[in-house]
Amino acid sequence: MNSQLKNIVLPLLATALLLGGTISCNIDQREDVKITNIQYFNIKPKSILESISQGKEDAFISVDTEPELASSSKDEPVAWNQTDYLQIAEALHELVWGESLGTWNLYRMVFSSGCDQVDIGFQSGQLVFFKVINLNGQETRIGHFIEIDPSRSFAQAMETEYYPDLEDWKAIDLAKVKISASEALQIAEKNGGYEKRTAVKNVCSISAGISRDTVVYDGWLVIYSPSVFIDKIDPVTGK
Amino acid sequence: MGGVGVGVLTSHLLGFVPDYKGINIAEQHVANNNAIVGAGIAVQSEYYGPWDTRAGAPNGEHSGLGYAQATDTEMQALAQENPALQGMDQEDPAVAVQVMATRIEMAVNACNRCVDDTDRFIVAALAQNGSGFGIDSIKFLPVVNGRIYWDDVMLNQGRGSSDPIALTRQATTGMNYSTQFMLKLYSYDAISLINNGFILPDGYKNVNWNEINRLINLENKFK
Repeated sequence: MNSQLKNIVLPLLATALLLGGTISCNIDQREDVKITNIQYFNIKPKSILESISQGKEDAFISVDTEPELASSSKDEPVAWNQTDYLQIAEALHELVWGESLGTWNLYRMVFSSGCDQVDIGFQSGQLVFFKVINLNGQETRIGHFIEIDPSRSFAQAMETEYYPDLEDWKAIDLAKVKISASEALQIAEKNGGYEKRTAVKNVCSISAGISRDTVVYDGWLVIYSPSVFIDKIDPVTGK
Repeated sequence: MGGVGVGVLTSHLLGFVPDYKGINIAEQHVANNNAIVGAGIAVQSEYYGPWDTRAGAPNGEHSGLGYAQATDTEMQALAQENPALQGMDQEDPAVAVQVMATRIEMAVNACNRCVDDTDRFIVAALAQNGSGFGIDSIKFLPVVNGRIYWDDVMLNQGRGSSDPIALTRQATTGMNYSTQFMLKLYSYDAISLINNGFILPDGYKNVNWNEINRLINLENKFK
């Protein structure tokens, strides 16, 4: 493209892009979000898995408020992995909403711990599930948010409504996720995470999260924070 | 000349320069020089036009209207928190400023996991958009080692957008539009306003700008 033509075409393109952008602000509709249910629970990290497997009713004790962030359990760190968190989430979901997670889509899950707990297990987990339903004649997305934080002996269950359903949430097919959160973390460790975290004397935090809607990466994103190391792990191949 | 114009437009779209049009609107209408509210107005009004008016908007109750880009449904919700907004028109600039102040206040008040001015500033930055990072996200902020885990929020969270320009900005910068990119726009606008005489109110005075900068550039460090 000669320079004269470039001076004409490029500003036109930029103007078109800007105009498209401004008009898009109008075309863009906004979802309204409403929290329809939020419940807090006290849990006993040492015994909750056993309580759930035995069908005991005291696995989750309803409380009015969330504990302070600074309050940490006197118990030893838990040796929980992704499967353990999913099992607890399933039990909490049945308790709060009276139904299994079987018909719900998994949207996002993230597990975290301190860097010095890598060899022990994840010390908190957040899982988000969703379903699109017809509510009052309108497509509405329902979100079920479950947080399990054994470091504070705490669990949370929250339901939200998004209306109109404009965001095309993509579900994670767990059957296709061959690499678990723990395995993703171990791969990240070998890829440089171990070296980086020991260089800062384990004064850092780690998370392994997956969401198909993430801009950065739609597989496992393993973050060592603050700004220590990030690794992207394919949930099928582990590469 | 054309090259310069393209450069300015591109820089603007990618968030390399502050929202000068929006900053001008904030300076005209945010009477108390509150940088937290002003930066929200600056971000939201940057592309304001006839399409953000009731007459020009095609999506009825779900269209963002006025300088604060508030929907009719959101106005009803905000009026429950701030009765002064009951029955008010979000297209009125003075009402838009109240909308932004209430939107941010509601979000920050809901953040029971925020422990310092930096946490509150980030929540304000993400919540001013009115969509993409709502009360649901604030109630569900991840925690590790007794602090909000902002790295995960920046890289792993934030809902998608149906806005083509947001998607373009997201794709070209590689930044999550509703979290990391929004923090970038808001911070740049807040700093510009502060340089022009706006002030950070109580609860935001001790923002750790190094931490904000780290979060804005989080992924770039590893590229």
